[in-house]
Amino acid sequence: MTPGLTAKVHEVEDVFRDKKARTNCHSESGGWDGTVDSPLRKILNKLEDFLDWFRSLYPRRKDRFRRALSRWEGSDLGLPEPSFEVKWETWSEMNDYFQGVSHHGKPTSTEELRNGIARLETFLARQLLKTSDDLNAIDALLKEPGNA
Amino acid sequence: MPSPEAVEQALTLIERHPVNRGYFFSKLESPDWIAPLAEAGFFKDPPPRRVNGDFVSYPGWPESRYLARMAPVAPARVADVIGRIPGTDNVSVHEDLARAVIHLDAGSMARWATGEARWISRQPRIEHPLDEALGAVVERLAGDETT
Repeated sequence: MTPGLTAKVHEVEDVFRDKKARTNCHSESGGWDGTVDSPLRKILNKLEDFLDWFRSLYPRRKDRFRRALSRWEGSDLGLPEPSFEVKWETWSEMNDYFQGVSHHGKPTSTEELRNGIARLETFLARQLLKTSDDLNAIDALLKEPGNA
Repeated sequence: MPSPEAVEQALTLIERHPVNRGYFFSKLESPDWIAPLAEAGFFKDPPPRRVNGDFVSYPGWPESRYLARMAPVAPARVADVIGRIPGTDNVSVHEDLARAVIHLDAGSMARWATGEARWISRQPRIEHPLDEALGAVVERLAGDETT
């Protein structure tokens, strides 16, 4: 079972307080100073381990989005950075809109909400389903003279 | 007017996946597709409301959204199709149709409103945004001397 955040923080705190008392890099009068010694190294290593662990379990929104995109694309390679940034920007705009309306009292209208939902549906449809070729075919069909 | 080949191609794409269907109708900006799509069997089967335990949802119907968008530019063609859509308990479809009928001729709107009034009388409540859409219909009816 994965330890909870509280237990992990307690682990880091125990190491921090124990090694802080032992290191030559810290004194009550002078604060932190000097060359990294063994106790301080253990603090830093423990802190790095903790932050790695934390990031793996509680990734930032952009990291979560990157992983989701990678899974949807069916490849570990990920998108080229410029393409990813375009998608991230689109996703962030939609996220900000829905979060704002749902939780922060952002004014909106029925029309704007409908457009937002339609934009989200199209985005997800293009990402989640292997139908992007079909959607492109529909776009092409409707662009032909007489069909628009 | 789309060619028979274009309609055939569209039907092939639409029937491949529900997402394709929703996407196709959301992108349609021409009323010229109404007749061939109606002939192909669309506009006849609005999705029912979904009940899951205590939760009720009203799935959007791509066809009715399309009709609502086309009503201002092709009211006669939309009226013809709306008059043949079967009754539904899906509030989302009612809303789309209410937004469509305010653009139709007075007679078509009044016929739709008569059936709608019967449906409304059986509802425990009418919630937003359907109330707003129905309010616009009432306002239009009240302002039209022929109805």
